[in-house]
Amino acid sequence: MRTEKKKGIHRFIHLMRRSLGGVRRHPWLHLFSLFTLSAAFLSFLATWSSATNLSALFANWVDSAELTVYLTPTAGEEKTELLVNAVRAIDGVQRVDLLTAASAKERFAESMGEFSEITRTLPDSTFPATLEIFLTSQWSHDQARRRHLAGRLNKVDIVEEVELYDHWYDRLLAISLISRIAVWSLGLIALIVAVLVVGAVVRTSVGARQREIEVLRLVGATEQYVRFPFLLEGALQGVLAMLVAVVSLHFLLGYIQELTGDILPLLGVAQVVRLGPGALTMMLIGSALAGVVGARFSLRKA
Amino acid sequence: MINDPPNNESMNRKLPPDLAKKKCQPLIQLNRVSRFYRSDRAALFDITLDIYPGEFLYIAGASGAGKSTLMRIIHGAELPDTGSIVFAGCDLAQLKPSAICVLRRSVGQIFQDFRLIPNLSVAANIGIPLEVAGLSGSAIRVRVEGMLEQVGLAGRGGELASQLSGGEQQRVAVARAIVGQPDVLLADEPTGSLDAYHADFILNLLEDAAKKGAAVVLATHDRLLISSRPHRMIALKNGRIIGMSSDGSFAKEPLDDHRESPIHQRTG
Repeated sequence: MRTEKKKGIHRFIHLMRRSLGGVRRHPWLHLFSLFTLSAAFLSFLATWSSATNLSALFANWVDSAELTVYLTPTAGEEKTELLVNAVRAIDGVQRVDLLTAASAKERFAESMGEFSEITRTLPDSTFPATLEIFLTSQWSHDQARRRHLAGRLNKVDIVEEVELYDHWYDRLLAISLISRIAVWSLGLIALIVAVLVVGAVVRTSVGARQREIEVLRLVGATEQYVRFPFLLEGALQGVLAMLVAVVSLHFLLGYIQELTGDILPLLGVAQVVRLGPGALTMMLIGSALAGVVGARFSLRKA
Repeated sequence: MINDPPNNESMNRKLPPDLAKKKCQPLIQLNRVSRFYRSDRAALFDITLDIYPGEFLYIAGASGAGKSTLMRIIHGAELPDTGSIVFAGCDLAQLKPSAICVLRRSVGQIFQDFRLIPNLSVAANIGIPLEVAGLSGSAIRVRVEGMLEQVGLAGRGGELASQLSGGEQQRVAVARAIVGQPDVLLADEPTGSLDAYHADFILNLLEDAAKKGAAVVLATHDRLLISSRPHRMIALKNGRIIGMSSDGSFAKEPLDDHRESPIHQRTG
């Protein structure tokens, strides 16, 4: 039993060597494959990353005030407090923040980054006092209820205007949906590209190693033993290409962060959101599987 | 008057005299084996044959006589359409493909065209059966070096197989076939493309392997070879056994014309 286990380990080592031998024998072919696959994976990852950032932006936006009530300059403290209490009592309202003109200016100044000092020189009256109304998630996703609430608030005499952000909500929702469709489409395309490219490379490799396959069968190698190096070759191509794509994406996002560092705080996002380790691990496993499927596809007639 | 072909069990199952003394059991038994590639033409027909450990057996016949088909059937690369082949007590038809692969590890094969992997080194070519058998890298190196010495290629393990001469390539092929110490060696026209010196060298290696206990089966159409190194022989024509002898004496007659041979009557 122990001897069999040892033999299995030795066989695995020989198979690994055989796989790498295949890569060594056709370096340019494998480089070309690596480049093509990396490009496909990078475009997929970049789209996924964009979608993730859009989702983060959207979530951030939904989490921020869903209704902004601009008060008239004549709204006194007493009336404002009455209004705040009345709104807080409404079912579906989670929280109400009162921003005085001064604190609204300060908050805006903080979000302006390097222009904050200039912003602070503006008079307080530039920014009207506002109420930021946060809704429960049940209400925040119910357009009819939000509109009804906005209509009621608009009728209050100290309310200048109610900003519902519905048009932004709809646009972001549409963009988010489109980006998700793009992610799935590009994911599918990347998968097909991976299967086809790995398949073509492994087919070439199999063609060039026909004699080796014949000899292996002659000396008693099982079908798994004959096929395994090619499957491993496919998996390696997939994983390496994904690694190249991940590293490229890392630098690409770093560059984007640098370019948009001043704008992002205005959008309420601290920095570019990167794909997490779980997602990346999933991608590496997926790319290895795509490589194996491509190789298996080519080995049908080997 | 020509007798019927001696394709009966008593004849083909007769133990060679030297092995009879050792009370050997057959290693390979072919029982009424037939193989048809076309319905109207048998590549092999009703072949019954026992092959013993340590024996050197010629399978003689002209091109198309069925020698290579018989070799492939003994190797388990093809299964007969009728009849059975029993290898070391196992009926090949009853075995799973993976089990046949394992059984094949105890068979070494040599071909006229060498079948080496040209872009691999000599040592790597010889080591392939040992890799498949699951030996460690260091054990393979030791065995291969010993083998290289045995076939007269010591120190040349690093060269590419394609850089060797034909005779040297066949030595590598023999080394690959015997490095795993197989129970059976199948050689299909192994000296067909070699000069006399290299042919002699290869045959000596095969006879050595037989002396060490391997059953060596050599397919050939070369009657001079058979007469110069007499061993048990069966002669094939159109897929049938048309004659056999225990000392290669058939070779005195043309191999593609056995039915008209007086020797045929003697063995029938």
